[in-house]
Amino acid sequence: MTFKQYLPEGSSEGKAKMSLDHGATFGDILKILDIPIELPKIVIINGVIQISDEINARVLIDGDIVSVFPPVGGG
Amino acid sequence: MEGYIGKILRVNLTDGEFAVEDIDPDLIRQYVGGRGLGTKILYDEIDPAIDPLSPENKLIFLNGPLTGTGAPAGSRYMVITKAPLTNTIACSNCGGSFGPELKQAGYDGIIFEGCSEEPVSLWINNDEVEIRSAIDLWGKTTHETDDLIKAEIEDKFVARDTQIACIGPAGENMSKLACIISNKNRAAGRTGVGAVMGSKKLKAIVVRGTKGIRLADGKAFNTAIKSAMDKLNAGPVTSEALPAFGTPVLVNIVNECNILPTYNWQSSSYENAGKISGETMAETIVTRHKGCFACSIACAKCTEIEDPEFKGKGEGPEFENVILMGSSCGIDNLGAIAKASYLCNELGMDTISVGGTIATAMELFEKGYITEKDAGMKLNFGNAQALVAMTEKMGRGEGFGAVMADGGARLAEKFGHPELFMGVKKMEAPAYDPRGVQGMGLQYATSNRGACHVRGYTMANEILGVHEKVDPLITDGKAALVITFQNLTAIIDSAGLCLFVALCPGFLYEEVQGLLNGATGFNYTVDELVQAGDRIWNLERLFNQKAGFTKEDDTLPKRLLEVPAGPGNKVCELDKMLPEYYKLRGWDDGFPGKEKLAELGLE
Repeated sequence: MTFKQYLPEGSSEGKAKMSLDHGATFGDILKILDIPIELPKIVIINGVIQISDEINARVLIDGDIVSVFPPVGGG
Repeated sequence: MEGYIGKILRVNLTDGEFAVEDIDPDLIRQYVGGRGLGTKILYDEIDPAIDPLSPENKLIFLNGPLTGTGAPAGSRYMVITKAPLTNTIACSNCGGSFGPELKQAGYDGIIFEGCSEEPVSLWINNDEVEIRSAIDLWGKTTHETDDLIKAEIEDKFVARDTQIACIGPAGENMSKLACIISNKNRAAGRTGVGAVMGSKKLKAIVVRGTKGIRLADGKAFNTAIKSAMDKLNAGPVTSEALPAFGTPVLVNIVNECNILPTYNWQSSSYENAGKISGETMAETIVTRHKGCFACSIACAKCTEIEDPEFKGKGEGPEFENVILMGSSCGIDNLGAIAKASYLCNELGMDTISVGGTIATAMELFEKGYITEKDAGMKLNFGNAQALVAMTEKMGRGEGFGAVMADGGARLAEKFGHPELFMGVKKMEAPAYDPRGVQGMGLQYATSNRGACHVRGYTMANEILGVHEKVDPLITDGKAALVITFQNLTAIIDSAGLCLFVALCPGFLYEEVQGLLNGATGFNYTVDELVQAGDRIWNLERLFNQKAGFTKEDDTLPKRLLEVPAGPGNKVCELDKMLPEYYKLRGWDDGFPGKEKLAELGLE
């Protein structure tokens, strides 16, 4: 599984810029991109892995870099 | 015996004698098999202080009780010896089909002693055992060796089913980075076990086995298989991510987390990571998927490079060496990384250590400590041609490659800058920067075979959130987490399973217990297995103590301890974790004391 299918138009190499309303949350991004809420397993904001169960309520600020991954593993 | 055969073949290469011996079932029970049992045998039979390349060292190939039984991902054989790279205990673990075939031939393993004068190979066809000259094979690559041996076998169906473990030129030259290869591309990779095989002039082991494997309780075993398969099929990593992308699926996430070794760990993120990611590999060079014996995960990726400069085909690269040969060398050319990986498999070298050594050499070169005259080529970061050319020279022991073939620690020391070696106990570190994933730092420092990720993969919780989510930047609780993973891994390895089963949520002791009890009839409790994992870890530690290691060796490269980096802009706070680790292990002054030894029956 990849999240590629959920990327908005104009994105490249799995990356996209998004304009959000003031006070928008991480959960809002999932809604806008139509990503089922249970799919993201690993969420990284500005390089820091998010371990909170309340991540969907996390308010984003201008310039935040958000990375979302399905469950992955290897090594 | 069930699950296990209870027989081991002992071969003395000095005088060409061999004998089949029974294995004490009590020892199997206490040490489970493979890694645990092999360590016990080695500990009892050699002086850990010996030179690993001397005839006094022994080379033990040993299966686990689940190897070849049909247990999911139960393909592994282990090579236990004293390690030339690290001077520690070595256990390198390999998939494919060699282990299962050896068990079908009626042996749990083989102990090689002494040293042959001329190159030889060992041929096993069930009860027939023969030592043959391998003069014609000496100098050949692992792929050529495999093909030549199979061409010698008249019946093409027998040839097809025959399994081979062999060394390439690197092992013959006793490179401390040499590995042992099976199925052309599966490796018992780390710590230089191929050099021990080379020191004994043993080129190959050729096995054909057609006997069955008895199980203690077939019904219970099938129930355990079903439970394990249900978990593996439901686990998204084992049923989707690894089958689709293989291990390089980690490249993007490790980069986004800012823990991706780049330019020999001078940086922890790489601007061109997307060019070498699993997703890019799947779109550009992967031709088909491949699995080891009885494995539903099939993480191996067959690849082909069309770029004329790096043209070739093979298997891999894997995540670890994409990073060590890629970002850590500042190289974003997937073709070059794949080509260097193919060369490692053909010449018989560990891809992680080769990448780590070249990255160290590149930093030494950039800083002027190694010159173009020394190296015979420019070794600047980003030089894809140099990566491939130097890998070949290392594998063949040519020119400066012969100097580099003993690894980054010895290289950095030789040129006066040991601080530029990025590893522990002389073994190159794998591809996770512990400044941003603290538990892995403690794991590297305390691993019994030097810097290693597959002795205690806390990444599973610290970054990937497999069993539970744990903050990677804190140190609290990491000592206990590392110990939990180290002991569990000792059991998964010793059982003969692939460690990737533990990337499946909930695939912990209970699953292994069910499989082991169905196969062996030992009726292990989980507590007994937890203690067996602890016993194995402690015995490995005792071996290292007798080999001359002290707790001062449980450390990390200066860069990781002193230069902040990563998402928390932190160093790896080893000093906060290590005392707690020793305490929770029950060790006095860094090693198990009388009380701990008595608890584990190791007096």
